[in-house]
Amino acid sequence: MTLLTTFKRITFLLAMSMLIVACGSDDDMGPGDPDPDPDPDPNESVEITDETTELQGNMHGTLRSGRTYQLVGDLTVLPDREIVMEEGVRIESTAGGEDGGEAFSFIIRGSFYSLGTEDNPNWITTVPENRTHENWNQGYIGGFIGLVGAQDIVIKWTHMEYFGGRMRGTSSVYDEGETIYGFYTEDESTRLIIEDSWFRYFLDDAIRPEGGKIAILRNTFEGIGGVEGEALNAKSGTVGVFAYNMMIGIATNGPKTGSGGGLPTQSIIDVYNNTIVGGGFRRVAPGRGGSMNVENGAGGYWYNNAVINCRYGMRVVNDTDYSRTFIGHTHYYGHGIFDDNEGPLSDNFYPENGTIGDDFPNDHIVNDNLNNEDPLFVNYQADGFDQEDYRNVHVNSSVEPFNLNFIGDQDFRLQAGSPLVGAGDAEAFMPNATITEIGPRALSFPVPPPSVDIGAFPTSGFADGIGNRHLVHDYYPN
Amino acid sequence: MEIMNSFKPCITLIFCLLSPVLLLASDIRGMISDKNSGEPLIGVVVQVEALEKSAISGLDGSYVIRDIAPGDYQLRVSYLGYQTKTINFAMAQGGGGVNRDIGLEVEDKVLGEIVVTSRAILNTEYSARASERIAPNVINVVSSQNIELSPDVTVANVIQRVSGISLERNHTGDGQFAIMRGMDKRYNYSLVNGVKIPSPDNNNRYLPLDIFPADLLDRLEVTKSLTPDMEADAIGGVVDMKLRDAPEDPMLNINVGTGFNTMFFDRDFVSFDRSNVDRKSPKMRNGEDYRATVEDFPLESVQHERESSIPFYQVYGLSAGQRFGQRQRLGVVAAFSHQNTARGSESDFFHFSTDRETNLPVLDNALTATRSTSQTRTGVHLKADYRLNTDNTLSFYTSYMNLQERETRTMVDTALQLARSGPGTGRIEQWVRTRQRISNIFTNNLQGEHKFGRNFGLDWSAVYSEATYDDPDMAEFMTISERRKNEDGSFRQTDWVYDNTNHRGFFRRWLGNSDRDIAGYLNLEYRPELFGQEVLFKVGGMYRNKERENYFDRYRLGTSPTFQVYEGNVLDNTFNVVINGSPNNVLNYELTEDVLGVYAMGRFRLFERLQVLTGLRYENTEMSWVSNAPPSVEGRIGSIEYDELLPHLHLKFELNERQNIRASYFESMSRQGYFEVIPYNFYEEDQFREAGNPNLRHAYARNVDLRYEFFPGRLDQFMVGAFWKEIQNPIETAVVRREDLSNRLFLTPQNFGTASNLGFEVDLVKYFNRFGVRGNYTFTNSEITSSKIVQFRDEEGSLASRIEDQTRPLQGQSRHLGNLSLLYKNQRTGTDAQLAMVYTGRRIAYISAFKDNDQWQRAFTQLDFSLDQRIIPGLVAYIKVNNILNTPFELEIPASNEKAAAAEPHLQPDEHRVLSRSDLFHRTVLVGVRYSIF
Repeated sequence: MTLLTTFKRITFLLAMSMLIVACGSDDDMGPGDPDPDPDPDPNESVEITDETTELQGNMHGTLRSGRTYQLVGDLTVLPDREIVMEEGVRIESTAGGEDGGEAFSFIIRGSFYSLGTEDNPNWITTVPENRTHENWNQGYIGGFIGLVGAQDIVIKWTHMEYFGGRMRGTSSVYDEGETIYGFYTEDESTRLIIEDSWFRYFLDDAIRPEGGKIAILRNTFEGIGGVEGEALNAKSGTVGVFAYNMMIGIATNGPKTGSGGGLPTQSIIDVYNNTIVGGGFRRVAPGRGGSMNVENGAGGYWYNNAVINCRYGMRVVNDTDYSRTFIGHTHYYGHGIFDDNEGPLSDNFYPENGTIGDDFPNDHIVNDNLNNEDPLFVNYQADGFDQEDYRNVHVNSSVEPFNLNFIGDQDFRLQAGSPLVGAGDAEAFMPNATITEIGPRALSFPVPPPSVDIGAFPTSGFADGIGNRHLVHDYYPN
Repeated sequence: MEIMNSFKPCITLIFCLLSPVLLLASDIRGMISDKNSGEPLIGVVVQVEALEKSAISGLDGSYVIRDIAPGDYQLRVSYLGYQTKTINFAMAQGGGGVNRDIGLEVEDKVLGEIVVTSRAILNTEYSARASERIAPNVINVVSSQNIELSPDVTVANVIQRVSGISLERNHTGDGQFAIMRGMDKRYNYSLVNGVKIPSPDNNNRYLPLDIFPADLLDRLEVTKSLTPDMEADAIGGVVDMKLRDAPEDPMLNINVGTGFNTMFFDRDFVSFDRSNVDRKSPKMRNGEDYRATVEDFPLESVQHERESSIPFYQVYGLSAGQRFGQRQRLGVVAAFSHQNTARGSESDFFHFSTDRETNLPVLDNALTATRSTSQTRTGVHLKADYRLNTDNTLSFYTSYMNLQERETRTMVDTALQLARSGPGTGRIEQWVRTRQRISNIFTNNLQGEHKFGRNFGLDWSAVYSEATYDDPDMAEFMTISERRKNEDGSFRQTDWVYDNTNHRGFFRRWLGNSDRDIAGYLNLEYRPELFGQEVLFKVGGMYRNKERENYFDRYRLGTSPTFQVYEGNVLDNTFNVVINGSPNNVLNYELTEDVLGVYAMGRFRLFERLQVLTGLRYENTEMSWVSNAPPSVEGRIGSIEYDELLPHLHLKFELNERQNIRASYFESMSRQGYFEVIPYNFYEEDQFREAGNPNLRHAYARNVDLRYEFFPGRLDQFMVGAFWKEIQNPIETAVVRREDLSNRLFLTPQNFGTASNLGFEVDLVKYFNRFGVRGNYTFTNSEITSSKIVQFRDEEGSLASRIEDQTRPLQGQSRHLGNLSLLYKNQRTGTDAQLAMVYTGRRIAYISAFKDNDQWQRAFTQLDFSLDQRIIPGLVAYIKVNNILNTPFELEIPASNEKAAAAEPHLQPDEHRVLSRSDLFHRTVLVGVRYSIF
């Protein structure tokens, strides 16, 4: 390899030949040359053209409206490159999922934009033959893995299904074989904007920012987490808002924020006007949360949220930054009983269960509705579930009963007499809008203020970014 | 100061012993030694025949016969293998006494020209002192005579008796690695018969010293200043285990013993059934594409089994040696050693985080762990030497060493923060583990020594070694439960259920490595007469090629159906395979290392009393690796090459026959570990990630040594030394922010600027007839400055952090280290006893990323005792008691602990320091008999 190696070999052979007894083998004693790197140039990126039908490797360019592309391997966007999905684009993963031992991911070191519209949404899912309700836990797609240097990940009006497949090989993020989060980011400067989109059949955390500026607005999360997983699980270095989201059938919590992980910036996320239904039952371990959770040095305003038939109420772990955490106007309702306390579900909400530390400042928690009043949604049987339903989700890691885990033909808008109407506070705080840019590749509207009606569906309907716009739910596979 | 106080009485005692002995009236006394070698002879019978009074010479060769009436007498001195001698003496009236030193001559059994080379017997205490005195550099020697008398079972136990050395213990409390002069184990290397052999350790280069049974040792040499003919990668020092040699006379030693650990009087030993454990993982057996099924993971091997009876140790040792053939040219010595031991530990420890506002440690979880470990050590060792003629000797040495450990561990983890609504409530996790570790070393060494004429000499070694480590099917499952408070104030606990989430669940893991070294050493000597003295010139070199393969294959099982209750028997539960192996993990790698060293040195006298040894050494290192990781993993393929030119100068000024002053300067280095450069990545929820560092550099040091030695008696010594080291790029494993890994905190091996290490040591050995005292004390002060994180709340009310420098000692360095052994030897009754104490001052165990949050090991004192009693000639019964004080291993963070001490006083009694770990290992008692024929 080098002159020295040759010199070494000669020296060694000389020494060996001086030996009276030879070792008797002709093994090459020299250092083995490492195999030449078999990988193609890691910095080369293929441009997406009109001929492109399959996606894998390093690519950049535009995915054209009306087309369907097949994801046949991990797709990487290199630094300073971007992929843009126009409206009405469909990406279908051909991976074999849990049964086939593979899942393909989007590895983002540059930018990715999925620009679906209300009339013409985008889809990221599996091939049609695999797209069944029964395959909810197959994980054909890993997720979006936003690495250091990733600039923008912007998702609008996009249906996403079957994320949370398993990692092949190791990375700095995942161990081999672990489930992959739906969206992972790790750079404090990455912008993660997800608006008006649908998350279904994810096997782990849907959104897992471990650093970044986030705006997660007006989305619908259904059947998230196989045996664990949250709609949002934010770590240190993450700042932004999570508002007007509808969550149903999440394995653990809906939104959870913490500031662990070691990035210098404190995690401050405002979580407001969300509706969380049927959360926490698929997580086997007790005490892990089932609706909302803040911990480990994080802070933010948690206001105007509805927690309905969830396993636990809001949990504030005592390592939270109490001084920057404010809770207000949460509406709780629980029907029936669950194993955890062998008593009414509502006993698992503050202040009955120790989910909020005794030392949490009293003036930082205001007007939480603890009277266990039926929220009076437009179409939801609040007392329609009992111990057996909760247990089925819990014991079998099941997404049945359907109505506890998916919206279907239920309607979570508020009836006129709902106790949630006008029960919130729209003035208590200004949202932590860390992203302000408006545009086709940025926010569609400025970060919306909170609403006085609790939950994701204010009675005033949608206006200027306020209120969830998902009213029709006819997209489920068979 | 504590240590100084505890030493005071001892020092007084030592000075008393050193002062001239009062000569009492009407006694005859003196020293008995070998006339040729000057070595003191122990156990010589001295008789005043007329009075029927007799004595036996003591440890230092001294004898005394008291109360002799005035008159003329004959003193008869007899000793096996020596000519009996009769001496006349007169006892005068009115005192004065008589002092007679006696030299005995070896009995000439055979006449004619027979003596081929007179071989020094090197395993005695006397020769140990002689080696230390004669050596051109700074060394310490422990003889097998001393080892036999000591309470030590493994080489690691032995080495802690040497000045400046402390031990890092393993998980059962057994010493395992040497920390020399405050330099972590990584800065030292170990040799077997002068040759480096690969370590079976899967993470490190250094040999675990507990794999070597002490009874294979002839002697242990510890070198603290390197000479150019030694490999350069030691900054602390070098341990050379010289194994037994073929004796001039036939010999046979048999050792049979048994013992126990007192821990198992209080609790059961927990074992598991190993018969189902497969040495190879499902993918190793069936190929990478194999999809494992639950049948590949037998549950029987995971089930803990309680043993109601106390597990007794078995210790066997056999060594035999003889010379054969005409003129006894062929010598063969064989030794076999087998030890079966059962140990354990009881640990309480804490997981904690660092408060974001005060930067103080905060307890998150309290854990208890109970371990039961059975260890089987087997060593076979064969050495043959053939003396072709006076000028040429060939020797062949082969040995095989095997250590098997089987361990069960139950750990209970109670969350103090999460899901907690007050004392007594909260989440509890239980981890149940079974594990085996199998280490092997197989080494073969062919050596030759040749003389050409009067002035030329040559020696060489050809070495082939293998070392393997296997950790097959480590199985651990986790279940979880919650304690809740009832309305009446009582508590209830929920069922233990399995948790199948990432980083938890039920893991089955295979990992291991195999290393193969081929090495050649060649040294040439030329000893001409120049300027009226013998001058030594020496040149030589070595080359070693290492090939290492490492594997890591991890599976995870999940419960199927998901929700299952654990009722104490894992066989009642059903599982499926969730994670199907890890063939692409970066820890599946092959690594090659080539080391070439060449040197030239000379030794001469500048003045009559000043010996000079000087020279230069050059070493080149090339290391490269290839792993199975996908291309996205940076550093999965890599190589490192460097070379260094290292000057040496050793001066020895001989004040007189009994006193030397030494000064030496040398440069040396320390290589990166093989594992450390692999970009591995471990991740545990809510803990720091761990990562390898392909950019790690080797450390380089300049070393200065000064030593004064005084050998007042033949076995006695007094040494005072000082040393100074400057280490560039010292390597420590610490939590740091890795800019190349998304700017996150990782526990990672890292270079830390420049460190200095300064210290002095005192070493004392004094024998006085039946008693002996050995003691040493080392003071070490090292300094290193690294940047740490300070967390605080900024003016805007946000939690923020800044970087500040902190100066601290090196990881593992104790300011004070002390050893004190008291010896008793009674020839007449055949009794030997030794009480040995080791004091290890506080030292940093783990380095935190946060300022003032390092974890320190508390100072501790360990006491061991041994007693040998002769039953009949040749047969000795012994008892060894280790860890008499049941010394705890304790870690703490010296930081304010007010909050935890107030909230959890039963866990955290001290408000000024945070207790982070406490382990107990209990006492070990070993009894047995030893039978020797010479």
